[in-house]
Amino acid sequence: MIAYHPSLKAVGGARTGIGPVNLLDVQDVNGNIYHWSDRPINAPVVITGAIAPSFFPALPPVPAGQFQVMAYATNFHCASSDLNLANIHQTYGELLRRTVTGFVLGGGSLYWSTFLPETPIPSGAVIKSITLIFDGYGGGSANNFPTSQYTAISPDIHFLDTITLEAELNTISPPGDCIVKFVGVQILYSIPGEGSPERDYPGVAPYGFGPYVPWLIEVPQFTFHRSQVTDMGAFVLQNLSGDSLSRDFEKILRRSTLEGAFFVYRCWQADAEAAWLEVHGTLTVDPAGVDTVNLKCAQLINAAQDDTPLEIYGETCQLQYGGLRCGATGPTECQYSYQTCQQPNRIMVEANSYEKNYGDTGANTAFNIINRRRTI
Amino acid sequence: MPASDILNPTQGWDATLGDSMNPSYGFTRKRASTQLHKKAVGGTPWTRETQNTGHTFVFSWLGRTWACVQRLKRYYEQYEDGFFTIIDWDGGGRHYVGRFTTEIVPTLTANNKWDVQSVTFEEIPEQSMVEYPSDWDHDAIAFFITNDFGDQKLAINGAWSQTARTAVAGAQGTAHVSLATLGTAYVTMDDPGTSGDWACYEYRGYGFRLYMLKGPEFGQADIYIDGVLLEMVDLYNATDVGPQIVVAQQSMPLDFHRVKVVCDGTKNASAMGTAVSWYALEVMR
Repeated sequence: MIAYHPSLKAVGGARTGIGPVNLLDVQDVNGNIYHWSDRPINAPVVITGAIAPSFFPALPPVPAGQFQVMAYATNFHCASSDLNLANIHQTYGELLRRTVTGFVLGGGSLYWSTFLPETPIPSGAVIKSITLIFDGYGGGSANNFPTSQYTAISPDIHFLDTITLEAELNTISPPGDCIVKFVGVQILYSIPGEGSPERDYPGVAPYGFGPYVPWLIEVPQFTFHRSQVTDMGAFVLQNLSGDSLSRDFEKILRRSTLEGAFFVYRCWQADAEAAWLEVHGTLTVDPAGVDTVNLKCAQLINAAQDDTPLEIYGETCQLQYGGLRCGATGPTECQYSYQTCQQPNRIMVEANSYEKNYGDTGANTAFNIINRRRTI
Repeated sequence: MPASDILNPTQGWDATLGDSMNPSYGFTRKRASTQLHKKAVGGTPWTRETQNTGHTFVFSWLGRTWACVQRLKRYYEQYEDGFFTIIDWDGGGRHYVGRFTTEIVPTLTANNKWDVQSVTFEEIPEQSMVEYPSDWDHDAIAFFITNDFGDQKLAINGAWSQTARTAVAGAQGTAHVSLATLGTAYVTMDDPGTSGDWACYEYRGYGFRLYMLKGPEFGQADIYIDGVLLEMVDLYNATDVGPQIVVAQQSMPLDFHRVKVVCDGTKNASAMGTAVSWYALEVMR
């Protein structure tokens, strides 16, 4: 059973009278992102275009508020320190590891500069908060007393030429030898004009202006088969907007194609700030109508659309003798069989037992015309 | 030229017919919508002009002479595959070119008079006219760079950007959007004057009047209509006078037309810059 978010339970039962909104986030193969809905709304987007950071804390210490986007900065340069730090080293998954000796509660400061968010913060973003995230471990003689994981400390923030963070390590306790891992910096920001309160003219909650433009005329009724039967449907979008010369959809399709674009559909309850239903998939485009466009949705992964492998697996090796991938250097060409292979660690055959009637050294390999490939 | 064949060339009595060719009850002046509309559950409607259909009139001629009926029948027959001109004398003498799309069915009443009722006249687009509509105060409408919902309708290519401005002395507003009050806010689409940058508006209607900014910092631009160079305009003025009619082209048939402004990147010798700024397009409907 899928658990509903508590806010949905509260709102759903309360019958607030506010209808859910259909939201459609689309990212095409070129990375263009579109946010469509059936009414203007300040809902947070789920496809932001940000590439998932390669590393971030498992448990964000401060959850992102409404209209806020989270970014992590992880590439630090430790500028100076007046803490008594020693044994600086790094290990995988940690950004800085400091062994603190004689750490005094509430004493000292660390300075970092030139940090680089793994996901770029868009220009114009309004930074709402920056939180240093540490992972502290006690060490020394009093082995392995864990301090709180991902201790969040509100830092003083100074915006200089480069952003410098000053953090007071006042929650790493007790004094003594311990290892302080600087995990990263969590940055919460909002983007004016994209659903945040900083936008030019705020909408009326829960609706209002936002990143979603009301192009969505119709959404499919999903039937969840709970099997391998594909859940299909079609989104119908208006195809009239645009300047007096060309439609917006013309421009979209001129820029890229929506064929195979990734979509996330949500039935969004605005006042609960949660989705009753979320569907992920890919789009395929029907011929555009004069006033609407049909975007059919298909499953997320369709093996039938994969490109055909370049090579066919068979009982004869597909590599050219003496080529780079073959690696054999002998003077005599092999017979493209396993038995005659001079580099069996690189052979490209399917290990099979098709041929039972021939001797071990004489696989039935055609010398001139290879006509016995068996495709799998 | 069929346009010169006028069903009712005179406003009053036609002695040759012993009657008047002007229809009873005047002109209905109905024009079917040529826009498509689509709207999601919420938000503002999306619209697009998709047809160049003109006006439609339903006429009746009541108690007319046979000569009058004969003329109606001849116009119906002659221009079933063509068009002629009918003049709305009650509406200021505006010309329409088109044809009857329903049959002429004369009914004898009494005293050798005839009724012809419910005859549909349909305006035909793309045809030349003897006189093109010219009542800019009553029939023209204005298109700005965005529609009232904020959707940009002016197509642009290049370094154009919207600029909020306020009216200065001498600013010329469209017929029904006055800029006479100093400080009245309006928005323009500006280009620094990069050669080749263009802005284009496609409208449905007859002629147009193009409003652009004139002042000491503005340069020169080529004005194209339907891909044909109309003229080069010099937007220089010694003082900043805001929007002015820089091109007025009245003699154009009903159709989709594209008005395109291409920055020349050149300027008057006295001008300080080459900027080009589009304010509005007023079109005859």
